[in-house]
Amino acid sequence: MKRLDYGVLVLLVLLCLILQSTLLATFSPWGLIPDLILIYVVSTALIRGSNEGALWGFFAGLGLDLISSGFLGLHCLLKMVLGFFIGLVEEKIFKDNLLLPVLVLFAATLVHELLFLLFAASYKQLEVRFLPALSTIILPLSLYNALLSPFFYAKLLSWYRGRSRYGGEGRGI
Amino acid sequence: MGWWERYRRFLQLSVAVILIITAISFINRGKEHYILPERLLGIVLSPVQGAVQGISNYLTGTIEGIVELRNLRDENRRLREELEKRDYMYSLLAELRAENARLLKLVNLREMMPEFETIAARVIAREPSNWYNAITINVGSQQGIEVDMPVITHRGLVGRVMSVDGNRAQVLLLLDQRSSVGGMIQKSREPGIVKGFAGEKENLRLLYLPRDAKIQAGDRVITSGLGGVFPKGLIIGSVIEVKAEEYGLSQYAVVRAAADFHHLEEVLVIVAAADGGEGE
Repeated sequence: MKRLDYGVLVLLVLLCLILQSTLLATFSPWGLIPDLILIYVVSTALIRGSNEGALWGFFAGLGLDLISSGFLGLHCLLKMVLGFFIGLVEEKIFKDNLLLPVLVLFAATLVHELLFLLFAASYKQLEVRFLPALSTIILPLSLYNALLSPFFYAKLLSWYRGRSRYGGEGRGI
Repeated sequence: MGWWERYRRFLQLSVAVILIITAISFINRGKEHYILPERLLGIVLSPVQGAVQGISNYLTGTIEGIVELRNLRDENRRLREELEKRDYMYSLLAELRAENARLLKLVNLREMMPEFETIAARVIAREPSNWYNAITINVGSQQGIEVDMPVITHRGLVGRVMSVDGNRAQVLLLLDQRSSVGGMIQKSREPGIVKGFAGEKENLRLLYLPRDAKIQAGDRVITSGLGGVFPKGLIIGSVIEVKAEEYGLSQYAVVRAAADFHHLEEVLVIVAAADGGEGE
């Protein structure tokens, strides 16, 4: 990975932030906004492991916090933690299986939203009736993110492979 | 060698020339039918000619066709480009017309409310999370926007300014759970608090209404002016359902917001009352 490559990834994160706060927030089917940043962080963790998963979780999550009207730092925290733990399985998985990001994203979104509600409620930021929230937002959103993820994941995986083939440090991905 | 011998070849040639000329003039005089040699030759050549001509026609036709095709293709492309240009102009026109209509409504609204000084703003971003409801507008402290200023459209109240930067501001929508506005039923003057609920996409609730308050579906809900943030009388929405609170001490109304939160493009920020005071 060269410095330029990190620049490309930063641009990608910025693009996700812009899309998520404009296009996707306006044309949201079923009133749901997919979490591109979470998809990015989870994909990175699966492809590159814990360290980069956590690092990108922190920075991309912070970016999302900064453009959101909500409680600052929650996305940053949750996405970093998720990036770290999902990254732990990086060496044990077969990366070409596109079912992998689908399943992981579904579970990750579920955990992310539940923890988000828990934290937001404990800081008196949100007060939600749990079951309706689960059925109208959390589960559909998990499904939505999961279905979007393989495209994103596959693209990111082939991009990283291109990097490591040409003059990268050649990590086995 | 005699005279004949000497000029024979010239004479032969001359005779041939004369014969041919005579023949030509004879044959071509009043020529309405094929003459024999023509017919004989024709019998032999015609089929071949026909075939060759057919091929030539085919080739020529093809070549001309190709040339023509290229011309047609060029023309087609030109027309397509033209059409796309027209399409673009047309959509631009439609877009401008729609924008004009929206702005006109804002202008009318502004004229309808001479008691307020307002600033028009464009929505430039929306809340990226599913749990909150907010928008970002393109005016900020440099345009005189301050926290807590009410934001409206021609349909009704949208929310209030939550945070301000130099050239932009974040507006908390009525839908957001963190929003709470003093409201009342316009007809019966029953006051309550209008709150948003996380997960709700278009409905609000008017809370803390007395148990015996007479409220019907369709009643209009307006701001009460209590609390000092919002001026009195701004339209919030209309009641669609009345429900009892869990312990029966009070009731609440489900209110359909008047503003269309999902299609917000331009809004008005109430900066001050026209007499110079804050908008109250």
